[in-house]
Amino acid sequence: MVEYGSTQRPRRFLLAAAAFLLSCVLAPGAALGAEAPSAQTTFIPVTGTIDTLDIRFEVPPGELEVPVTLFLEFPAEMRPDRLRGTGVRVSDEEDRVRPPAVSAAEDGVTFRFSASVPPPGTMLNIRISGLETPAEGGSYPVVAYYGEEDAVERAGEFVIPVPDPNLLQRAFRAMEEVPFLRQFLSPSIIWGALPLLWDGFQVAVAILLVSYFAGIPLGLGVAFMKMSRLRVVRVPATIYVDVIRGTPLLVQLLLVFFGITFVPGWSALMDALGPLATWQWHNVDATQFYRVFIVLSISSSAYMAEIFRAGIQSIHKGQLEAARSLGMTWVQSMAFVIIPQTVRRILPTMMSEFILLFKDTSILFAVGVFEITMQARTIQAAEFNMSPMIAAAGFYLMLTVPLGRFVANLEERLSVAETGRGGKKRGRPGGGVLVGKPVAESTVSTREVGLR
Amino acid sequence: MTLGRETIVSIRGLQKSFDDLEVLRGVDLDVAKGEVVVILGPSGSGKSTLLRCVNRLEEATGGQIFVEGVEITDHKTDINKVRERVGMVFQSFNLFPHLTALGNVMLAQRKVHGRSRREAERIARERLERVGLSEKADVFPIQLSGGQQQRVAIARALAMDPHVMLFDEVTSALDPELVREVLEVMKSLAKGGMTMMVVTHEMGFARDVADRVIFMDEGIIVEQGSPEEVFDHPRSERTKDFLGHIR
Repeated sequence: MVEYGSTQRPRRFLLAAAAFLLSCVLAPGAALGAEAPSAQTTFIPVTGTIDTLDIRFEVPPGELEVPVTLFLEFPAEMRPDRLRGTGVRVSDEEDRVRPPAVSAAEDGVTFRFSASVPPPGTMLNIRISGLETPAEGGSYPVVAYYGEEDAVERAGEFVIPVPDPNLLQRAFRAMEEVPFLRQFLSPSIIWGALPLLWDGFQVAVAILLVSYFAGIPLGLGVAFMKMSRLRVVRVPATIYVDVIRGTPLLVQLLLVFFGITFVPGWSALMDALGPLATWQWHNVDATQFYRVFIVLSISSSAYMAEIFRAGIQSIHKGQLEAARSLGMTWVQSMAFVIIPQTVRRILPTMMSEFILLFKDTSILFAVGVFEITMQARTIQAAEFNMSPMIAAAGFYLMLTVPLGRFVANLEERLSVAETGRGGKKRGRPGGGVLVGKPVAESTVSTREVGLR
Repeated sequence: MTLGRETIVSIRGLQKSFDDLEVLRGVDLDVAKGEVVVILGPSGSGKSTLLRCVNRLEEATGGQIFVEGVEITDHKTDINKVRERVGMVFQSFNLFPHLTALGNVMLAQRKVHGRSRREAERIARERLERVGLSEKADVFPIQLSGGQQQRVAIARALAMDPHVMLFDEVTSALDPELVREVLEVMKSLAKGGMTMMVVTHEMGFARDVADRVIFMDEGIIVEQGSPEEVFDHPRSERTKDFLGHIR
């Protein structure tokens, strides 16, 4: 892949030069400055295979009767017989030509204009994708024949330079040849999917960040409500946490994402937002973002509330008593004594919540938000190939594995800091943080934290 | 007892129950300025609860408590103002583990008294020196021995310039060899004229330092008097029994 820049560019230049020279030879009568017939090839960098071949063919002068045929003769190495109809497209700038019928055979591709004759001088743009790439590099000629059926004449030749594949490209091509590998690990399909998956990755991370950081204050509020001594405050918070933690995220998503549009005032709000509700980023609408933010921040806040509550209650009640006995208010005691200790204790759990929420963004596929999974699913369906899903998994791992390692490390260091001793792993070993929602429970009763 | 001296803590008919459990069943007690009162009694006798009611870590369920004339059992009282004048030291030290010794002693000074960093640090260093730990100022609690931690806790309470100090079994969690250093600090405080209410099992300390010894059992004051009176001539059978077991 690295070699791509160094080998491909000069070849592409050569190709352009060759095409220009050819066009001079083939169409000497063409007025200078008019677009010359040419062929241009694009390659898939990872495999060095032909991605598309663009041929510009100028219809030669002469009065002809329908049906008229254009035949492109391909070298055998390019296997034009394998072309599917959808891989060949014909258009012209002025849109004067009725699309021809296309048929592919072993020796070439036939374009049959049966409705009308393309006016002479028309520039036909023929794009062919799905051509087989010759195993060895070299210059391969494509010869064009044009004329009434059974009376075609040679009308031009295009030379297609194919670069010699490097070692990596040969290896990747070999992979493409094995059906199973091609199905799951096709280098060319993965390469093609990367830009879209990268878009999806950015969308997922943006959603993750907003929802996570919105969930923190929300969760903290709910946590304090749950620890309140007042029933009227405690009960709603308990119900909130129980309901959200007790229902599948998918159900919450479908309910809120689609249901919120029926909430009175929602559309009025969106109208009022004006341009703030109509922007789009990486194929995701503003209103989609807003709805997703709502669902995910609410969901994560419930889990965070339990993390915060357990964390705060795990601080010995003597800490609060000591702070209060010094005359500090409840808020001061929380802010300067309890929360700083809690943060250290819950940091690993909060980071695994971050990882879990990131993985949960994949569920947004269900409502058509173009995050990683949705992008992968779309490409997978179009290509009839599982490779984009594997690539999508890679995009998730790109974030979860380093973070997971970091969390494991952090836990270790924090336990050293707290106990003054090292080596003792608490609970989940290794990558355990990646598995399942943390159910943070504490045996400390609410009474103790309700101290005033 | 309080003859001629200003009363600083006044407890009237104090009752406290946890659900069905009656812990304090009518306690009356006056503590004079500069007095050292040592409270003895078997576990569950309510002595710690009594102490904790004085700065309202526990809410009284009946009776009244006045600290320097302010009724703290009144819910309209700003308890934080009262707590500024009532220092407390706990059995489990309760130092803030995320702060250094100096940070522990400075925090409340800055947040409650609003002292400047410089002022708070000056006072903190002075208090740490008073408990003999000036060289440990920048050390975290985890790196200190139990006795040292408890001395930092005392310095922390002292930094608020309390008028009364409550000591709740402050040596009970310490290894025997560390008890003495804490008791020495408390002795010097008593000599300096600090008003102290001390719940302890250290009989020697009670005998040497206390102006008055109180014996509590089952939520009431059973007997009180000078150390000699209580230790050498106990009147109540329960006191005799308790002291007999202690020795």
